[in-house]
Amino acid sequence: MSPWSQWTLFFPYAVAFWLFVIGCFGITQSRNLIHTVLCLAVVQSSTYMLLLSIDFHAQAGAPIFGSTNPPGSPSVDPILHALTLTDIVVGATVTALLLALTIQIHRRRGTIDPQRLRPMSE
Amino acid sequence: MSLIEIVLYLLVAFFGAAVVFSKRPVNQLFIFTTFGMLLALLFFVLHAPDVALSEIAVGTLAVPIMVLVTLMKTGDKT
Amino acid sequence: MSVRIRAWVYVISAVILFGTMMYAIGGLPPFGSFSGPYTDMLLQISTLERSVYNVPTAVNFDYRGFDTLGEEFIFFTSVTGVLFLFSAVKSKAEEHAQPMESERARGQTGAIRWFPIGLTGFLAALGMDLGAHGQLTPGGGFQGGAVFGGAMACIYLAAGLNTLVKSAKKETFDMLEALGAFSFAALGAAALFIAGSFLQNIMPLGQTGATVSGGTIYFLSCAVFVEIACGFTVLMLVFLKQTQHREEEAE
Repeated sequence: MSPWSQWTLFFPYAVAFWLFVIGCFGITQSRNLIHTVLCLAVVQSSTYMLLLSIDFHAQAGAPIFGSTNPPGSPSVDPILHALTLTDIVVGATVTALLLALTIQIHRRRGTIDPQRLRPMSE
Repeated sequence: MSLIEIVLYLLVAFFGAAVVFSKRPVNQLFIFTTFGMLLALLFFVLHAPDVALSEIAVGTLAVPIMVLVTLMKTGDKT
Repeated sequence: MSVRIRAWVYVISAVILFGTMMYAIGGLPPFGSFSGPYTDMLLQISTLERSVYNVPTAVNFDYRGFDTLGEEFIFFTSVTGVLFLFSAVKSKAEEHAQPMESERARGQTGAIRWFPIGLTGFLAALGMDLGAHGQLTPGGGFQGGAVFGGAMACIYLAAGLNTLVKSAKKETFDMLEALGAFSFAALGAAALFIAGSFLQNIMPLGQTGATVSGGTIYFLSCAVFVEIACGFTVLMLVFLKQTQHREEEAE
């Protein structure tokens, strides 16, 4: 196999792992809690990308059948689609919960800088 | 692997890094919305219309509104 | 430890993690050639057995309906958490809140008012269509509910906060959301009593391609749509109400 086709065989997984690592870097280096929440959303989307890249068939269609696409024609994996689409909606709600917590933290402590939000004993 | 998939994967990787490295939260929000749209496009190219629908409805409609309200309440003076 | 030391500790461990992940990629199937026995069996028999065209919806509400029940209750708990955070801890400004007269509360005028008004009806109808016909086209309760929540945000954009609060009462939507969550579990329990397994498909399956087909898949999709749509509406209401108090603090 030529090096070109070998490289394309693992490139999508490398992108998913890259997003995960760079999102975690953003969480450690963040100076604003809203920035942290959005970096967490990037980490979550890296898992969706990994799930959807694993089940891809090169010459297959979508897992929706119809009159032009009779049942039994080749298609990609529907189980991972089902997992991912519920996960996206629920992930957005958890983001909403984190943002509500951010508003309350600002109301109590006056700042949303994680470096300055040390435990109160210090 | 066709050209459009390679281009979309590269764009998603670039925009993911751009979300992390942007300075002001307002800038970051718009880059995150674009990241969501690109992700939905990538999901569509990977033959997953259900997941693309979910990502569009959530990532460009619900999350940016909530982040904007949070930005307003936490006194983004810029 | 200081920020720079923390950054370097993370970079070193991230490099090791990334290297391990690259090594693990060697064990994954090459991109574009996945084949699992569960998938092959599912694709061949699901349309015959369940009379649906949209296989991920059938997987979501029938074959793996129990996982969807868990995800749905995560959603319900998160919305309850947001409601609790915003109602239990009121600041002084919120306790004296009154309907605002400013432009943000009344809504804009001109084109920026009429375009979202047209969009609201369209998005609400689209959301209901996606939620009800999830077994025929790409869609389902989750996508339809998220789009319907966007329609509520369009009401705010078009007509301001007073209209949104008047047209979407929080208590009603809260109750409807709980009703949606309850009916999902109730349908599963009814299947338990009638047929012996939780969430089994007990209703007549109908003809493939008909509007109402798939048995309990159709009703579970509608129940999930009600819950997600009302949950997102409640989230929008609670978040957008915060803009009212910010103005009072600024004044």
